[in-house]
Amino acid sequence: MIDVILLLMAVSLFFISGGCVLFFLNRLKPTTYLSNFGWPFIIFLMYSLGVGIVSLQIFLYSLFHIPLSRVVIFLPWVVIAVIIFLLRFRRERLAVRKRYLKPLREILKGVTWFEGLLFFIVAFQIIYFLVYAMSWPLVGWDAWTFWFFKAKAFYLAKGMPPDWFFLNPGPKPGEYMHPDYPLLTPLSVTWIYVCLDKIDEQLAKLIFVLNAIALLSIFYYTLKQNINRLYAVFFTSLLSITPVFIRHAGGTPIYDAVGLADLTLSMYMFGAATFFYFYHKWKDSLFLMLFFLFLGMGGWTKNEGLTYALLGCLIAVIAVSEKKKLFWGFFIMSVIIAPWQLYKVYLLIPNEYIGFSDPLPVRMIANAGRLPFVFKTMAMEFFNFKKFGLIWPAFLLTIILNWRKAIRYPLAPCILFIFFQILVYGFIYYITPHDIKWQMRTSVDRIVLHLSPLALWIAAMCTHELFGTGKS
Amino acid sequence: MLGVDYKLIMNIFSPKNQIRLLPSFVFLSIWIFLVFPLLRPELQAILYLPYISRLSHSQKMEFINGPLYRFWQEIEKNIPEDGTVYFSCPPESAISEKSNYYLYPRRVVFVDPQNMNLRDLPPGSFFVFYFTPETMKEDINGELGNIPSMKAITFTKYSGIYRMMRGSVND
Repeated sequence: MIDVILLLMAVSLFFISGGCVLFFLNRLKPTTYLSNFGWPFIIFLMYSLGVGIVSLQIFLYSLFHIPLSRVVIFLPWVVIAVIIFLLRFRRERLAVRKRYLKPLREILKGVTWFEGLLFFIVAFQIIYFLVYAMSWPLVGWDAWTFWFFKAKAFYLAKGMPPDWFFLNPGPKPGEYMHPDYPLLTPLSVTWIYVCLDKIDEQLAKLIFVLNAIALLSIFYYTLKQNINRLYAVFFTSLLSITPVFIRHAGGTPIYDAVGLADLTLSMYMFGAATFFYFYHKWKDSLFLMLFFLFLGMGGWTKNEGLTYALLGCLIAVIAVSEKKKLFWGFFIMSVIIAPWQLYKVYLLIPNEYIGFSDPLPVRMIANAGRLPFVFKTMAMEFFNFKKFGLIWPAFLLTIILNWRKAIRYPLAPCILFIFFQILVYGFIYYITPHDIKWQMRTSVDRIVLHLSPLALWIAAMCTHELFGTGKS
Repeated sequence: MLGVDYKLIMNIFSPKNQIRLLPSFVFLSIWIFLVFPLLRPELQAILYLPYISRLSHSQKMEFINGPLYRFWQEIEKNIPEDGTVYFSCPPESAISEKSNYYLYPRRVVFVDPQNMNLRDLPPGSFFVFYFTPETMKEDINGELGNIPSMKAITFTKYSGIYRMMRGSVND
């Protein structure tokens, strides 16, 4: 029982710290466009920000040799939360309650039996994720070999593990341990261990379930802002029963990927693209800052997030005219991404894709023969109905049918994110020094997962545009 | 204020606009039909849950990792956390990755006894091996028995924990 209380305390810090960041971004105003989305959206937005911020806090503490403990990690956020409460929230709490709690009452207003069924599917899936993931020990291979391994190392060292851990740690050195992978996922698990004061992978898996719920919540509420409730819950339920999503959110006896960082990266990639959409729709700079924050968190989750962040910056430079806000956005993103990247340079941890013995052009010429295989394998995965349902056919078909809107703001940047990131993944497979068949077999479904929520979201928007009624 | 209106709940079952919902319902059914082969494991998991809930953590770990889990416990009991472990196991298995994780902070170095002289292991270090009847190729216990400075802590035919007490016997 005490473990459950400590676990809830640990998780509560993600919400508190994310809430503090959100309030500061919002210039301490509790009500803006954000309140249109409803309180569940805001709570899970706080959570997804908090996971990134707390893990960054733990990394900075480790860098500066501050021993990790409950008090030193929790205390600064409690102080900040109290200051925010005294400054703003106390005065405006009645207005906030009215505004944020309203959607709870309205949730059943005019619900048809079909919408009821769809809400039931989503709720059922969430309960399944919680119960199954939390009742089974760690099984995911990547979780053993690096995500939870790094979490354990930081916890046992009460800070930065010894240098040998990053430089020559694994059974097959440098090959499986991925020492250059960013640390958001491991350090968020470390925080759970610090709070529990022991290593308990089963309880720490709660983070991954919450990531899935946060993704579903952001997915539903961002759709509901644009299209009617039926379409929003319909597409959310489709996402919740997508097999690859289930494997990463709750796991199954056949294939369990809970503990891997791919769904977390999905959440940040999806969030960044949709916040950019809302920035264009409402011209509210809060969404631009959230866009950059989510880009930064993506780059702090996995290396694939770095290319996505770079892509986001390029799109922002072209599409955003307010240069001062752009500067602050880049700054916020860099603060999240830079510490680990600089530390890697300091430790001389090699990048497993760029640190080749032969120059890139030579490798590109040598690997030209693998391009048809890469293209075919990726295409087959996008249209693997058993794993991804009809997400990708629906995405392609609806953007073709709705091409006039799809090539214009605010939807066009979201589509660009998908196409360019697919090109990046194809390029990485093209130049990878690893055995291409092994690498694609073990990773291609996960890279498709990164972009699937965004593809389904765009398909939902286009479908509503073509056939729907209500909001647009 | 947060109470649910009775009329609102009844509206869920109202027949109005039912035809409008038909395409969505058909699309959802097709989707479920397509993903069902991989949804089936979720249904199996739900059926397993009552059984899983009765297992202790050790039983679950043994269910997933088999006898390897008991071997890790032996290692944890016999090798201090700052010890260096030279580990030999079948190369084409996940034993090395899993053991590397569970035995940390012990520093685990994976070795192939066929390609190294076990007499050269550093003093104070540990040598462990873990095989199955199918993957065992040589009599490692016999080989280790010929090294006087290698002390057996525990062993079976296919697994064992040894400690190098001093430097090489050639010293």
